[in-house]
Amino acid sequence: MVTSKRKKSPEDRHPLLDQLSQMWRNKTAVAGLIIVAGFVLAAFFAPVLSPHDPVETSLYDQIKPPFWADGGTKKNILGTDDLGRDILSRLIYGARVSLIVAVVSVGLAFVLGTLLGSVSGYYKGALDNVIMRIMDIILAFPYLLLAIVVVAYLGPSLQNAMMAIGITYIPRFARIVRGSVLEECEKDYVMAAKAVGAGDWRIIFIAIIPNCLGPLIVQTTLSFASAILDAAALSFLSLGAQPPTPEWGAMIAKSRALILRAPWVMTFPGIAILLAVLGFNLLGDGLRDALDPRLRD
Amino acid sequence: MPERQTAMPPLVEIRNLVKYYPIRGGILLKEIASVKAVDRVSMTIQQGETVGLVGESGCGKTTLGRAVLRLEEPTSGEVLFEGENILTYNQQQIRTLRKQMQIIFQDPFSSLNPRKTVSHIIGEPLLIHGVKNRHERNEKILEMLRVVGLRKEHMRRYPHQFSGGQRQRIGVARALILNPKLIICDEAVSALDVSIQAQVINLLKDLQEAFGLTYLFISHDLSVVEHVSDRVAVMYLGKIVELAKSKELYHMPLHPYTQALLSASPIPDPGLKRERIILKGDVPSPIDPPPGCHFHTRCLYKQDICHQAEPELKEVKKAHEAACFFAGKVGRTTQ
Amino acid sequence: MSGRLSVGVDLEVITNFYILDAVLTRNWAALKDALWHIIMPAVTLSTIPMAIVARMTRSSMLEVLRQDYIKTAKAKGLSRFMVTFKHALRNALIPVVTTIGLQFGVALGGAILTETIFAWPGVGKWMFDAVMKRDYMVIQGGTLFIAATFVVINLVVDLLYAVINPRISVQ
Repeated sequence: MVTSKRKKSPEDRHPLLDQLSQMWRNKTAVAGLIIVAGFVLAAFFAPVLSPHDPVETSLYDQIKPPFWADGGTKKNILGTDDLGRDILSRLIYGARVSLIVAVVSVGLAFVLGTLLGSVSGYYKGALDNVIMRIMDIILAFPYLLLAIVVVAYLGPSLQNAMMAIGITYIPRFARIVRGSVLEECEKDYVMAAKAVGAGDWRIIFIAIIPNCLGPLIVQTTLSFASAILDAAALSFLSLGAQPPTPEWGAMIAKSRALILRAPWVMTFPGIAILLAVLGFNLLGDGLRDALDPRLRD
Repeated sequence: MPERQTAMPPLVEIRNLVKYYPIRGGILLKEIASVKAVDRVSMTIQQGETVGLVGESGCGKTTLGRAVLRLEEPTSGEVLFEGENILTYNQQQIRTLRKQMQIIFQDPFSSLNPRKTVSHIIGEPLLIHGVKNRHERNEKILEMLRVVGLRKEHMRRYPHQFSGGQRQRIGVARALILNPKLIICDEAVSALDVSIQAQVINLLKDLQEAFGLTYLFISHDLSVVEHVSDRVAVMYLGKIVELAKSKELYHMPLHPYTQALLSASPIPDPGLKRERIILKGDVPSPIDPPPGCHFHTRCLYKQDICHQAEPELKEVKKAHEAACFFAGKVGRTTQ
Repeated sequence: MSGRLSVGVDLEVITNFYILDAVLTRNWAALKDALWHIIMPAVTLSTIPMAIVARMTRSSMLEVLRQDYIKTAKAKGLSRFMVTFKHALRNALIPVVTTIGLQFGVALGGAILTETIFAWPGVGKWMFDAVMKRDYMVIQGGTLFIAATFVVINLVVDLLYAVINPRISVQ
């Protein structure tokens, strides 16, 4: 790929960029992108943005309502939880936790899934059969169940939750990559690469995989959404982030007892999860429309 | 063009080359049948000549071309390249051998990776074969672009920005950059418009003269093959049925199949009337080819012996081989 | 026991499945109570699959309504209702059925959360408690049970596929 510093004329752009630019016409996708951007910024600049320490407890400020409600103060804009911790700060730091979980678990699934899928689709035969049957076995378990089981055996912690989610997401990447690789292998450019003496790894990763990126990008984005959701679910079941880590799912779980007395403690993390997942889903759908017309549903 | 002497060993010698594709079925994926794509083919290609390979689609000509390059692993047989059997080569030796033999593909749209720039596509063979220096590579790429008639600014473009003819030129440049001795043109011009075909064919001819190339020119288009080839081989159901000098084959076909094939191709002379030989039936399945002579199911002159024995490809006249018991004795021997 | 009842509701237990028992013993008060308890968890659990199935059906319907045979049906003078629900929906449902099968997996996994929240005494809650207590036998058994259920459901879905789609027949 040319990484020249000279300015490129628009028609010399990488074809993938051409397709991506179509996304700007899609309003919901742009909305998703804005939400995702906000989420990522919050995660990156959490120490700057949050008004308080997310784990600092304050005995005198327990269960304060948001500032617009009776008894609320400007000091804690979204109120405080049962230990007097500032909810807004916890939400902002929670974005960081969720983003890390999403990046690590989806990254794991992406790398392993792409590797297995491309090897499977390229070599075909017995190896393909073995790999895809293993993927089928993983798929036979409902996602969340498998994640819970993995965490149950590894012990509850955020790292193990990430690994569990990553493992359950491998098959979707493997299947998509395998399908694309099978399709691309039929094309002459693969034969051409072979004819000039390229090795198998070069053919797979330099020639074929760049042509499968469209569906992969879409799947990655959509997986970010479900990874955030699943991480929240695991933390809700106290199998993920351990206290006092400010994790949205764990925040909801902790405040279940307060649902009638102080509903905001539970509502705000809920809204945060909803927005983050919605953002990634909208962006993913937009990317799908732009990159991969075949996958549209 | 290097002089052609009969005493010189051929550049390529194919001996009894066989390529069967197994058809697997059942739970244990046992081989239940096989597609006999190339069935005991022998031929030679001399240094510097162009050998045409014609036949209907599905007759195995593409498979033969790819088997010679070992892009498909042949089932059995020998391919001698400069006297060495390359079918015994290991992967490493094969990759080194790729410098000597290259291929140009039929479809100029799928044969170029859509996500790579032209300079990447043309330069990749150099990179693989050890030219790590970027400037050195770029120089060679530029030279190749010039040779095939493309411009410098095309380097950083992507394949979708080119026309079919230009793309085929890129394909030619990629095949040529390693300075190979043999180029297999697998229907290299079939997907192009007629006017573009002529351009690419002329380019190939010029390059042959300039670089002393040897071509195996695979095509279903008889007139193109006649135009470019020194010798022509005709394939039917995985076998070569006739092999002769181009002129001789087109004017004096000996095999009934060649006769029928030639009578079907249009001649650019409205005054000339020619009786067409219409072949009856379809090409039999290569999974289960007919016994004896493969062509007997459609042959106009078949005798009892054609069901029972398989005719060998043998010299009927000087430098004119045919695989028919009655070669030269039946049909019109002049066109 | 399966399901929940308010304190003070009497029910003669036959199968331990409260709704069924209430019907069998014609105990309408208990039936009402059992249904009353199941409605919230059911709604919770069905929300996500509902959204996914609705989206899938929509796009599938849009695809089908473009087909020529729909135009033919309209041209024949069939009512809008007939065209939409009899001709189009039947064909649109084919890909949806597969999705519904896969959604069972989501529901079976989601049941763990839902049952925990609603204190519903099901496999999900049982599994959750087992995880909390590190009761590996129960985790293994429960996982195997749920996975087997999921596989069977998908098998049934595949068979249903043949019923809905006459182009595919079971060999």
